[in-house]
Amino acid sequence: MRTLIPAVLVLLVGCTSPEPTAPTAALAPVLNGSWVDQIVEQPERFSALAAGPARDGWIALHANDLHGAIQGFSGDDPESTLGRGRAQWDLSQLYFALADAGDLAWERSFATWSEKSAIPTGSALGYVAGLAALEQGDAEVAAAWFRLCSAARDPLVAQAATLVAATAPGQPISGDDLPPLVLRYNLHLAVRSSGDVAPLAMVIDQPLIIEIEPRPDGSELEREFYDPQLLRTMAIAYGVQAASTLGTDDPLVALGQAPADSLAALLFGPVAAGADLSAEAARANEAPRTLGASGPALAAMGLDSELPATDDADWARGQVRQLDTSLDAWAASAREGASPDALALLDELQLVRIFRSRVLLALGRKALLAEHPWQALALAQLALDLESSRGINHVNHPGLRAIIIEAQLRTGHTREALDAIQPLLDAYPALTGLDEVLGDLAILQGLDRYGDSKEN
Amino acid sequence: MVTARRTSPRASTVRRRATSLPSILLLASLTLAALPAQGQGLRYAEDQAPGIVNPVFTTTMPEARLNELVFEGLYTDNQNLASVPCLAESSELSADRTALTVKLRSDVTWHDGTPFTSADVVYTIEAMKNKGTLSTEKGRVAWIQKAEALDDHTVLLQFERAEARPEDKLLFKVLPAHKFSGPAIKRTDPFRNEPVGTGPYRFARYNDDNSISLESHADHRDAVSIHEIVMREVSDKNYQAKLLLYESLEALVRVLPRDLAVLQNNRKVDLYPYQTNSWWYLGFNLERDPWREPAVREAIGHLVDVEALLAPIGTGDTLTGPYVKSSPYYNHDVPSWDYSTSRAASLLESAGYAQDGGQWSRDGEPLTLNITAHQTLESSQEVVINLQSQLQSAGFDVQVEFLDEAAWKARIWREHDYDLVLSQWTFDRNEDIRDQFHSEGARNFCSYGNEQVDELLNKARDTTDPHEKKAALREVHRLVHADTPMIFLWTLDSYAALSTRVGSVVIHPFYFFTFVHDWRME
Repeated sequence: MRTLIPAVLVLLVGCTSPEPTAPTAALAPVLNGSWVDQIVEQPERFSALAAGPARDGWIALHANDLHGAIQGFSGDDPESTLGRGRAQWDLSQLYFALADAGDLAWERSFATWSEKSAIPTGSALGYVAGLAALEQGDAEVAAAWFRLCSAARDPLVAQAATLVAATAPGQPISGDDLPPLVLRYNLHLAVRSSGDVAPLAMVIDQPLIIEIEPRPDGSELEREFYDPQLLRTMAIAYGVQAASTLGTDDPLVALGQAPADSLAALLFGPVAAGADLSAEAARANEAPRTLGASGPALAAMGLDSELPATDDADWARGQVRQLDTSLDAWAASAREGASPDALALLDELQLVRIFRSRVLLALGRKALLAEHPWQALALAQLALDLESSRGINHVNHPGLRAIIIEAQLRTGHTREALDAIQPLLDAYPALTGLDEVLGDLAILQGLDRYGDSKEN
Repeated sequence: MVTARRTSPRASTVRRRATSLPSILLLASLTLAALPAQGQGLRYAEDQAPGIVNPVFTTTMPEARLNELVFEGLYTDNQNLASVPCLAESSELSADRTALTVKLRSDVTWHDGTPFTSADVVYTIEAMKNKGTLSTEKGRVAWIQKAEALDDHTVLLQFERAEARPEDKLLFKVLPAHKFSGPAIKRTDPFRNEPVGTGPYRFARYNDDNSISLESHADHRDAVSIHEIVMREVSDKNYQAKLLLYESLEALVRVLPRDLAVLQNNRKVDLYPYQTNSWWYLGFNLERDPWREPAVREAIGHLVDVEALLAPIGTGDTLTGPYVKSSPYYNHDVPSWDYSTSRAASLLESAGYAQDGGQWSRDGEPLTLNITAHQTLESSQEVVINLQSQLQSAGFDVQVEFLDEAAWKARIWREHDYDLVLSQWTFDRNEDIRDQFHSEGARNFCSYGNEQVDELLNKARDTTDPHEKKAALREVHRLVHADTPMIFLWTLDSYAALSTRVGSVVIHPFYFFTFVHDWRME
């Protein structure tokens, strides 16, 4: 087995710094029995996984390349199936987080546009704003926006607005010669039902509507409006895929039913051990996105089980320090008896850093769902690997950026939310629309301000 | 032949290697000279002490940060970056939106005990608008036609045109009228050495080590829990992280990228990402030959390997224009100048240059590049060394010089006495490049002018339509790239680092200390 370890390490590239070590082992048992501990205790089990048919999937999952992981876990063997289901479910949760941020961005953008500028006459803006309101379940606001479309320059936009406004949410629109916008609306429903995202692949980074607007000075302005339904469609579709892969309506329950010592169910994830997974799966319906935020292992590490009543970022920083103290102590203890192979895996794969990052991701999501954006922001920012801060890597899960995007938006830092999108755009072109609408919002929020600049 | 007029970066590097003991002693002395002692206040580091403490003449970020502690505006940002009253208590906009009546707080005193009144507001606006005040900040009040004191605590502001939310523009700092003797404000006014504001901290003293001590303003309406703040000048940025780790500082406003890892792994330090709207550039003096020739500028653009310059100093994004990549105005369709000696040679030959013995010259005159950099711009020495090497290899005579703050302001800003500058601009979230690229821009010391760019910048300023503004400024990006008044280099991530002893920290993405009254220390 010794000879296999270096080969595995070569495959899982990009991690070279040794894990930070701590001077004390006072809280040593906290990760005993965890997936990290399993690798340290039995490195051959990890080597077997990484050398098996699911090898490419594990390489991608280690790198937080979720699309790559789905491709890599393409086999029908149990490990590939479990890994694929995990990656699909993780991707679904990521898109849900991004869709939540998108809802906020679209809503604020159009509201601020109405407040600070004139809604362009004859524009299709009302149609997109109406769809955005529908995504948030606000039929009344949606109807008001759709009514604006009666004056749209493009009659097909007006027709689409009328048809969508007259249809119950979630129901497809039938009829002959439906306008393209209605066909797209129906496509979303179909994708959400089937889980097949392929029909959206060609348009995922493209505007939903491009309109040419004549300007008073004789020039023309090209407006692009992006699809506010896209991110939630992706989220739902990948959730459908995960359920199909795992053979259950609830992927989290399926994961919870994996054997307690199943490395494949836990590897590189936020849940430390099988016992935690079972405990968390039991409350899957409450907050599936926070998987990893409240298992017994976290309590053993001294983390609070509940958020404080106020959105105090210092509390979040204190939690991170407590987590670091516990993980440092465990790592120091684990290293004492570890084999050279285990040490190589621990250091080169940066297993503890990965676990730390995923726990902070879960805690950040929990804070955000509790409407504590300052805490969410602190947790996500402290989870990032700053040496590769502009990219996705084994530490920098894309979900951390999703938290930062929404938290920045909720705290009024729209321009900073744009910074957080940037590292995701290549891997997630569906974010192009969110990037543009956040840009519009940042511009609108700054309209009455004097722009300041200084040297250095 | 490569020469240096002042401190050669190569010589500087050698000296640093050869004098490790003095360096250690310097570090020790900086540590021992720390004021105040640990636990008594917050000490933060700047690369260079502000050259002037007067908001009207602020051109650098260290100055802006210090201003934020000492001075206040009628309005300020809250933590959600919305404008809220500060020196103002309330305001009322006229029905036609061309006038605002501002009711001032009556419980404000200047640091010298003088009551703050509407006369201070009127004086500040009139002085900033006064032609005798040679300020780059005039734009902050240019939209105000007239300011009038209705009584001691009421001011009427009349605007040049209707304003939607004028309070969003009333963030400029108010100055004490009683500290100035004339209608115009001059850089040399004694105020620069004895600044008086209404902010939460007052000037206590300049210290021998170039640090500045601030003490809490006892009469300020918001009690602060940190009673002393010391701005410490630590010009060698390599020492700043060490001083933080040795607990001789509590805050670094900007961490070198190379220090991020060590600080991130230290359990006594918290990192705070904040603004990233900064970009480096190599700017040409368009008033001088041969830099007014587009072909020569573009040729240089093809000979600068930007990626190679960036690699040693940190991770960042290379840029093709005057915005960072996450900006809504960044034009992603503009390609970077490809590194191409053949294209550069073709351009130089079209401009009448020929290569003789590897050296480019025209009419017997070698093409010499004098590169000027600010001596405290982080990592500038490394960048200049590598740039010098790249351009020397390409057949140019390259000279470099590093200027301190006073010389920089005189030579670059006032006299335009330079060929090429290496520098960095930092923008607030509006990313308004008008001052840098409009032909009438207050910060356009490159003397760039393009009528089309002026028109687009005017349109961007005047429109309230985000799509129109975005389209105009993306076109500006394209045009400015094509004109090449600057070679746009990169943006680096910005992180502040604070001791974990400092709590309740929220950092303003531009002014940094705006929310300092909420900070506390263990």
